[in-house]
Amino acid sequence: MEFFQTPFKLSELTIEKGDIELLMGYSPGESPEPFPEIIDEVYRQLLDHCSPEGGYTILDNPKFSLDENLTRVGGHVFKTDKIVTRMLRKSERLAIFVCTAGEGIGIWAKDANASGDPVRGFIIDTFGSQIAEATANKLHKIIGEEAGKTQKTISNRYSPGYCGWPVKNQQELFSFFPEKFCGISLSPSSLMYPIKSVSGFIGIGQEVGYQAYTCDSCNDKHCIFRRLRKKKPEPV
Amino acid sequence: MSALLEQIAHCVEFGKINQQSPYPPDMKGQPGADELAKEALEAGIRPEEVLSGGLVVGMQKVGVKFRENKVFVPQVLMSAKSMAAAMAHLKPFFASGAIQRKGTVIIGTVAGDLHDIGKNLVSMMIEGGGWEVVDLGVDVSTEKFIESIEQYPGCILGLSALLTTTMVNMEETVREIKAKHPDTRVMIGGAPLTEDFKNSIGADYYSPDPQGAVEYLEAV
Repeated sequence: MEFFQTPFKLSELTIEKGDIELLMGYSPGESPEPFPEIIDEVYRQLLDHCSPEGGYTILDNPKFSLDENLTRVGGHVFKTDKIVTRMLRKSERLAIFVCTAGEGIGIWAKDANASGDPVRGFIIDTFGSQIAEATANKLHKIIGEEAGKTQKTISNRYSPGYCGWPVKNQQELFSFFPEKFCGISLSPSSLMYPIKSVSGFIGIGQEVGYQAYTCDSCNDKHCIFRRLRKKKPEPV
Repeated sequence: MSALLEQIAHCVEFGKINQQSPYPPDMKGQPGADELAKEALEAGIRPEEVLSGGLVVGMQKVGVKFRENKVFVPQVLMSAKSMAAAMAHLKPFFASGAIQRKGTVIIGTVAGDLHDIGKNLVSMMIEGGGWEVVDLGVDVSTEKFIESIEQYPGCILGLSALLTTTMVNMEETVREIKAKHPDTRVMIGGAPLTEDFKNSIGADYYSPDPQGAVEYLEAV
């Protein structure tokens, strides 16, 4: 099995301060004092605390069962549930990926909380989430470019824990990789460490495509993203 | 006397930690919750009054504003930080038994879930409401919850989950807790949860926001 693995420079990732404010609940540029100052300060120190890295492997001939809501690939069965199975069903190959913002940022946030500064801890944590997503975006783009070389397109990325796909399937997903691939390990309850990490599947094929927004294809009334979409806060 | 308590509540509500802190800008140079709590105690205000008439009132106000989307997580955290600064002056009174906590709340994010921001907010609000909080952290096993219930008889339990896929674990945890400790009250919270879900798993209370948890605790 072949693996692609690479570290990323922070400068290669798109980290916008406005996105951090959005994740904190405010419109970009509108967070009240003292938050813009803390955001700037954390931003300046990010380099010392991040080590973004990602990697993937590609598996051929995945099989999708829309009746059972399952994906079978590489000798494993994944309970990808209705939405993910449907979205990936036309894939000819699957990119199995993992990526991380690195261990440092989680430790930094924890230290800030432990020193009695939960605000800074929260802002560092928010940056960590954003860096992990930006790393996943970068990896997604690389996989798309690779697929493009053979005139294939790629799907959205889907992760265990979301869209009804059980977190427990992380065990099977990580079994495709060498131990501590990209420095990521799994807890017995299938959580990734470092905490700020992302894993999942990306479909590759001639008939798969990227959908800008997927909530309309889902009817999970409990989903947090559905609720966040509905809830438009009015900061004062 | 009550003016001092009102000032403490105001500092907590707006996250004014101490005189040094330049935030919020319109309170720059003024004493914060830290100095005012000390002053109140030195003026002879009873510590439980500082708690109930100052800190609890301030946290309650910010909790309601958070519920109404008038402030967001960072502002609640600033309030919690102010509360903690004032609370430091009350610690000796808790230790000596001069102030009694209202009870103990054990809180944690269920197994398989590491999201802790909501859980931390609830934890801070409850502590600000005068309760002892035992925070078990994230990815907490059912066994750990049960062990803690046995360690703190009469406690109330707070469970959090953010993922729809870990709601299943919450259900299992509540079922096992209720089987072993049917009288233990269990409140639940987390973005994907609902009142219907609470009913379906046999929990006692669901709150969509931290302030609801505080109000529930006051009512039981």
